Amino acid sequence: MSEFEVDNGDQLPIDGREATAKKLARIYGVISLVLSIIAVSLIGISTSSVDDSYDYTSSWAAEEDTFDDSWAPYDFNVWSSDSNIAWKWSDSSEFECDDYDCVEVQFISRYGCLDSFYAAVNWFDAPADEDGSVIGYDNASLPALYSMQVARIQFDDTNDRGQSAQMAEIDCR
Amino acid sequence: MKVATPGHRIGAVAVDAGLYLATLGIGWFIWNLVTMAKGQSPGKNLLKVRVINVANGQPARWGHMFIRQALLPLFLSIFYLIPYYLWVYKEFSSDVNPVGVVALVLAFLLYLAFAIVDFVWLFGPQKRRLIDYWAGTVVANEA
Repeated sequence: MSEFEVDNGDQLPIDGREATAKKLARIYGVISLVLSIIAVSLIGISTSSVDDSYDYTSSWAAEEDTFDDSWAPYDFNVWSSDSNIAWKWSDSSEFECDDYDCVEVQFISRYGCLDSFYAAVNWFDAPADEDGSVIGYDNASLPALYSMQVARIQFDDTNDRGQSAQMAEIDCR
Repeated sequence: MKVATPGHRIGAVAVDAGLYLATLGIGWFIWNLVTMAKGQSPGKNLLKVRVINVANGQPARWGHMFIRQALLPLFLSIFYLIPYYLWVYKEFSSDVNPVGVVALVLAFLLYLAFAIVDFVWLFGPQKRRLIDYWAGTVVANEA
């Protein structure tokens, strides 16, 4: 016998734990596996009926299936890649610019953008009905935009060469 | 062979933790790779305790130690780690079914219960952790 040899009869007191350990392994394995499968399947699948939630990870096809613009107020355009957001240009009589030419855009969100809101406008060197080149942009962000709250945001043409503006990006999180 | 007391076992874990911190994990890891072949961790090596394979009475070999020290703990924790990291991947979004989160918490609590039983069994007649029974090992004191 080597110095490490174990003689269960003399050295290790006999106890009934071998069998208990096997039972515990089975119980632990089965219950853990069931809980894990439930957790993975339910955490992996997002709910879509909660008011303040919107599934931004949906595929484009899924977005098309659920695209709904019926909630947007009159005159607002629902953003093509996020049906949770709608926007419209403000009439020039509704706002005043400070140092530069500007446009004002009104944004509204169906479920809210509770983590952040970001928008960007591209400036073109030609009127909207003509082909032009992008010559600049302006962007703005908000810490949050709550459900059905309207945000009025001005975008400046800091080059003073813009003749038209185009909504380039809206990111609601 | 003398079976290591719970005090020895806890002491070895404490030494391992100290060495791990002192060597930023790297030194301990390399040392552990070496000592595992002799049925030891660095802490066990310093305190002269050794993991024995109950089936043959010989020191646990590298592969056996790897199963006992790494694969079994990983296997036991993977049930709550996978859903947890899935939730982390979804940035703890509130847009998940709350039943899934409850299942994750229950899986973690079950793991915690295992950890408690595992520790308490150290004070049993054979001074073996639950994981020792599953791995077929006992820890011997060579001092």
